Amino acid sequence: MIQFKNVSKIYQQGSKKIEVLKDMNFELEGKGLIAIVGKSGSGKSTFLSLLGGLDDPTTGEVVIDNTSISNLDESALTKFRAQNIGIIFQHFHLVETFSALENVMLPLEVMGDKDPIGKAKEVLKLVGLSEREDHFPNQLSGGEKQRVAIARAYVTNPKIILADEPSGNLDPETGEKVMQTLFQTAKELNQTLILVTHDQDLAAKCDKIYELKDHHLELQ
Amino acid sequence: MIALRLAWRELKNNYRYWLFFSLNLIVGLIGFTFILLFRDNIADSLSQRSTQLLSSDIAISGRRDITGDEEKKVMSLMSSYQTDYTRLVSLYSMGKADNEKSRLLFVKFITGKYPLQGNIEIDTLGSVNKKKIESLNSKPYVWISPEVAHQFKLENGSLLKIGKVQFEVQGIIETDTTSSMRGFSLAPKVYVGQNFLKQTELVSFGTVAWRSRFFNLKDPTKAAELKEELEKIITDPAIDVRTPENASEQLSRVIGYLSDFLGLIGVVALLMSAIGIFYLFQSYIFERLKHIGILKSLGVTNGNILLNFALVITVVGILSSGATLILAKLFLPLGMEYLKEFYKGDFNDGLTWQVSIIVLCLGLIVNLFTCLPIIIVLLKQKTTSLLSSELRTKPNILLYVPGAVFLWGLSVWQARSLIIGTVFFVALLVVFLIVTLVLPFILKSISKKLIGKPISRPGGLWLGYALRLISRNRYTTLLLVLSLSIGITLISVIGQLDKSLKQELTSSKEPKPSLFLFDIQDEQVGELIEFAKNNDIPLAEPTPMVRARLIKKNGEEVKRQDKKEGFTTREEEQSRRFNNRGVNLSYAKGLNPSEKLVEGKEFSGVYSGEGLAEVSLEKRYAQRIGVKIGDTLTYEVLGVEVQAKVVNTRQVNWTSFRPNFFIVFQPGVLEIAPKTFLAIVKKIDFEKQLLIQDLLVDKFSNISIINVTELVTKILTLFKAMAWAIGIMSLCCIVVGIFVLYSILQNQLLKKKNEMALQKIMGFEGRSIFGITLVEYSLTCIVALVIGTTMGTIVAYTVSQIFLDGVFVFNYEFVIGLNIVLYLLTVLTIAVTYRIHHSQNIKSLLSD
Repeated sequence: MIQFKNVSKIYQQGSKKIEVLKDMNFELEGKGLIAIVGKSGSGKSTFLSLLGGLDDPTTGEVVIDNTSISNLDESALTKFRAQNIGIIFQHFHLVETFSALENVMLPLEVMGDKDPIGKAKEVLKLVGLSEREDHFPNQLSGGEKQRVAIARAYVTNPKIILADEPSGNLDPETGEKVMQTLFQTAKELNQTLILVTHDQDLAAKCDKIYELKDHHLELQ
Repeated sequence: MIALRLAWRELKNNYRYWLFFSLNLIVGLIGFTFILLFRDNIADSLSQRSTQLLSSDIAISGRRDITGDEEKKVMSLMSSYQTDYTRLVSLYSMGKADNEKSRLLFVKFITGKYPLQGNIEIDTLGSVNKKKIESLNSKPYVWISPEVAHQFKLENGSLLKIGKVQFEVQGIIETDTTSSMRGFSLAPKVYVGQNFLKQTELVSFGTVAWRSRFFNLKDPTKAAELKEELEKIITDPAIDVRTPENASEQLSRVIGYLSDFLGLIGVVALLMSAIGIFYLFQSYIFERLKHIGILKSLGVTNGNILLNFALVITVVGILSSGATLILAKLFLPLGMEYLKEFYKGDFNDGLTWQVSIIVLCLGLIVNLFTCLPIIIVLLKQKTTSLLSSELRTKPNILLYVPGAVFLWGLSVWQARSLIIGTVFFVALLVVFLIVTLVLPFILKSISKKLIGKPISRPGGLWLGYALRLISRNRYTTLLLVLSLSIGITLISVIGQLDKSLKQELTSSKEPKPSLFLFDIQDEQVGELIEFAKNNDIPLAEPTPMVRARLIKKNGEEVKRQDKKEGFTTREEEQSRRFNNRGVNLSYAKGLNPSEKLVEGKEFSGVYSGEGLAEVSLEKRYAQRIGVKIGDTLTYEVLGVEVQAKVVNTRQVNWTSFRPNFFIVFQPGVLEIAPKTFLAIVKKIDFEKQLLIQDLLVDKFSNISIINVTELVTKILTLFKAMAWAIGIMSLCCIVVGIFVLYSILQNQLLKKKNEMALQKIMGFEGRSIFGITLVEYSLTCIVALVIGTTMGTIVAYTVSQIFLDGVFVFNYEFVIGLNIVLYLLTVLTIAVTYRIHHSQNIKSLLSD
């Protein structure tokens, strides 16, 4: 279960304070595909950052499966995130000096998995990149890069996958294919996918849609 | 105009980057500038003081006096130009005090007015004038230097025996403008009246004594012109006609060795800066490819874009040079204080316009030669490639050729030696080639081998991850290794040579003698051997020395070589000196234990009188005068011509302190020539040395004795001081290297912020992220240390083969110490830089 308890996030920009989230209370139970939509600047990405433990709330706490990640120290948070959360970014964020296979293997090896090659290859096959596993990011197209990022997020079989505008940097056709891969993989691996997007059509393909409006999430 | 506007905008919008870039340049320029100022100050100080050093406007001096005929002509020429005239005889002799202490002295016999230029001050008499010199000539008085007073424990009124005369100390010298160096002379100085020269009985045939005549001119600017006229009268190259300009040659030569070597360190500091700015600029420009692409797509020509960056680089170069000059001006006085330890002189704390122009030009040239090739390559790319972020270009080596030629020229100029400058340049080139040709090949194969293997192999996650980063970020690895290994090469050379030099001076296969005797007259040899036997003195067989001059090489007359105007290399200077000076000949059956045959055959035996006599030359002497085996040389020995054929060349271990000669004849040629002898007293303990020294001085007052043990200590003290100066500059060089390393790492870690965030997301703990970074840069540093230390050892070995007669000692303590210190400095740099970035949270790491 995911819980946001009185979460506020304020950014300081020079002398100006910008309040992105304000006393947000939110609960999400069960698995499935969840879309978070909202206008540009509504705080979608901030919500995702707080949920992934990439940033700390100014006040309040974020709780995942009864663990308050806002109160974890750096080391415990890192471990928790590695075991429970997979993240996919709009800008792919692959390790440029690692091949596709190595990028996917990396989280498994950090966790001390005994068969990182076998598992990574399996997920790469699932996203249709078996033939490109020894290629480096600069040898891959945008769509292929994002599929490597998806494979990397899924490979440790986390409970939650967070995806921030995963097709935002791709052309419509490639974006469509990548999203298909993303949804299909989540379903096959029975994981919760929380997708941040401004694309209503894409959101419509999810099981639930939440809109971030006036600092709060509302189920549509 | 568009280029100008763009340049202004570039500087205004990215001033932080350009400030950092400029800082990189400034640290290198500072090292280089200080050396230039050091040299400039010495040259300036020497030219100001050269008249005082020479002690007149023009002087004629040599180890023989000019002939009566020559004297007549000289005096007739000078009569219409001179205002003052005096003569001086100077020689080395033993002095003995009442308290039985004896030491070698440099004795100056003066008369008339001395010095004609400059000043000598005596504690009891004040400034020396004609009247005071008259008094010195009327009674056996002596003026002694403070060192003599200290060594002999003398005070005013004490007695000091020089030769056969007992002199009374009339005063201690407080100021002497005719002295130039501190700690470099063989023996301390004393002044006595020339009237007592004969009574001392120190000057007999073959004695090493210098006879000088000094003239003051009505118009000192005529000195150079008169020098030419005098050289037409005195054609013998063994007699020097000197003007203030070349009076300082001897001094500048000694200091020159130090400053030339330091100059090379300055070049390295500059080179490391260049590597730093190259890295920063290429990394900056690759981030601005889109900007360049947009400019091109908007119709800005390649020429204007190039001009825009050239203007920016020019402005930054000039500003950096300006900042360097301001910093040098502030810190120069501190450095000059240290120099005074070496050299008595009034140093000018101000910057000269020549140095300022050189620094300004260097700032500009280094920037342009380093950065423009990067832009030129990029401008050749298509606009679409520039607009995409996937552009990969390879540097065009040809564009760096002008920079390489400039570096070679700079090295030769700073080393003032074609050989040393070129050896230095070649060493850097070899390091460059190893790093740029061999290392990429190794890195590529490592990268290939790692493909398809778990990241934790080999050796765990930290090592596996780091190896992938090193082998795949090849460009960065190469640049880091290059900048570090060049610095380490130079520092290793210094450390290795230091030990080899000390080894050469302090030990050899056979023990060094304790005393070195010279000026032994032919008729004293038998008596000396007998005396040694009776007094249990371990005297080695005396070696003959015949004074001569080289008059022909292969039948061609040897002409006096004048000093070239402007820049001269050390090799040209040595060749000139060796061709001009009178020479000492000796004869022997064969080689002594400190000699080794290099080329040719040994003497055939005693000269039969038929054909040409055989002569053996010291290897480097033969090279300097341009003679090879089979050539004929003609010497003049007291008016008699002796012709000989070169049959072999020898290597001499000069630091054995045995009587050795550049030119040795076979027996049967020079025996009848007038000669003196040199001899050594074998190794004995120090107390006994002093006793024997006193005994010998008592019995043979004309024989001079050098205490080898004391001399070696003196040379080592001097060397230690020079090594200290070199060490300080090397340290500056390391500081520049570390600063460049810090800049590169800073830039690297800035680029890695994204990756660091990813590592955190993947589950890496802070400890592991630091561990990977540490292993990555440690490995890079170790590779640089291995290359640098190996190359440094090879260069030191080569230098020792060329200049130190092959003595080479591997200084493992230094190598281990240096490697540990540099490694720890690298770790510290990583830790500091890493800490700055690691404290940020993932979101802010990603958002940059």
